[in-house]
Amino acid sequence: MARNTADVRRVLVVDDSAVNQKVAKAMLERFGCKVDLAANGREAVTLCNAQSYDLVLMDCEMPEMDGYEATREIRRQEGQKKHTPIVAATAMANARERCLAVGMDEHLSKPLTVEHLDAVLSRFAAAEIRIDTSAIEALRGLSEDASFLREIFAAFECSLDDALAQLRAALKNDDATALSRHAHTLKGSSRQLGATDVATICERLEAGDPEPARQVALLEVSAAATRKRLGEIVRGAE
Amino acid sequence: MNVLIADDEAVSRLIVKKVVEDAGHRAVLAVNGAEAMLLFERAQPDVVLADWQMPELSGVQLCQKIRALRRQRYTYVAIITSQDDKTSCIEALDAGADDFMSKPITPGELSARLKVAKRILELQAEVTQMRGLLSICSYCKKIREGEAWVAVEQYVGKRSDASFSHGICPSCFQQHYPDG
Repeated sequence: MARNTADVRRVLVVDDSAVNQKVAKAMLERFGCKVDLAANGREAVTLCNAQSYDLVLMDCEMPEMDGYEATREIRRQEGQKKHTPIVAATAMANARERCLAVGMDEHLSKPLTVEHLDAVLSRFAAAEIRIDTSAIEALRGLSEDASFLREIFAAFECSLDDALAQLRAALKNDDATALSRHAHTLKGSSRQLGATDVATICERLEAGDPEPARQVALLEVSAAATRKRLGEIVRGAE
Repeated sequence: MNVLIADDEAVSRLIVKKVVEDAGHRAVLAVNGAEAMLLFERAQPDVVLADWQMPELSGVQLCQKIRALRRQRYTYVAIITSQDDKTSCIEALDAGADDFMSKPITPGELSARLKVAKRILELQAEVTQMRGLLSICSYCKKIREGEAWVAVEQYVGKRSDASFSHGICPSCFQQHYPDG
């Protein structure tokens, strides 16, 4: 299922070790994910019944109900209606075949790394960037010369870098006023270029979102995707 | 027209500048309200296009400061903002702005609104010129001031910093002192 980069991705981390839970949660939150935790397979099955996840990160060896059994149970309950991506995270060697056999989609070896999680998220919970191309068309109408659009895009990239740096600093200093102000500025330039997702997240930050850290993390993801896509559109204009 | 553009955000600044120049006007750029105020005297702008939310001095504060100068020539001020609600619009107009535009900037809209600014400034100039037409008595050279007729020294002295030093011109000297 495609989602916008402005949407929060919900991930369930299933692990009986509190340390592993914390590490996975911290890493996933860097990608703007909202993370729920389960300590065993039984809790995971209950949570998956109550809530839809974009990704489940499943430990294999756990008390009460292990990851294999939990996966079989989740798949049984989902039937044909639904398929939640479940990725095994285990320290055990040669577990891959068994993981895939019970219905998991991928297998990661512990310890987890940010790179592995990034790859898994892009594969199973990829976000699509929304760009309103009519905004670019309007700007293109201003000048026959493509260099004008390039100049605008370069200015936007600078604004993006600057705003992100300011927002990170504001987050660190717990400065709600600065968060709102810099989000407002970035919202303006994003809308001008049709960067809808970035503008949406900025709007939330400007309005004083209760979870600014998550919004800034989402913004990082969205900003990177926007920069790439807009760059392609602008270069395509030449 | 000379157009002073005040915006802390580079993307808008570039777009506004482009539209202003394409319409055949001269653009002067300021990155915040305080800089705009500093440039104001030098640029002598006919039109000021100001973003609302800027560090140092907001667009609305800038507008209030410009109005407080009571400059003889009228300055047309438009506020451009992404705070696009009715309340903000009323606040801006109350602060002395002539126009209010929402971001994102639509080039066509901005250039049409610049035409409005030009039209209003031209009318303003015409009014000033009409007010400048003086009724002067062909004989005694007194000037009409409302119901009364006053001496030219009094009339001009009241309205400007000019003061008079009385002398006599060569032809009047000839006329009044033919034997001089």
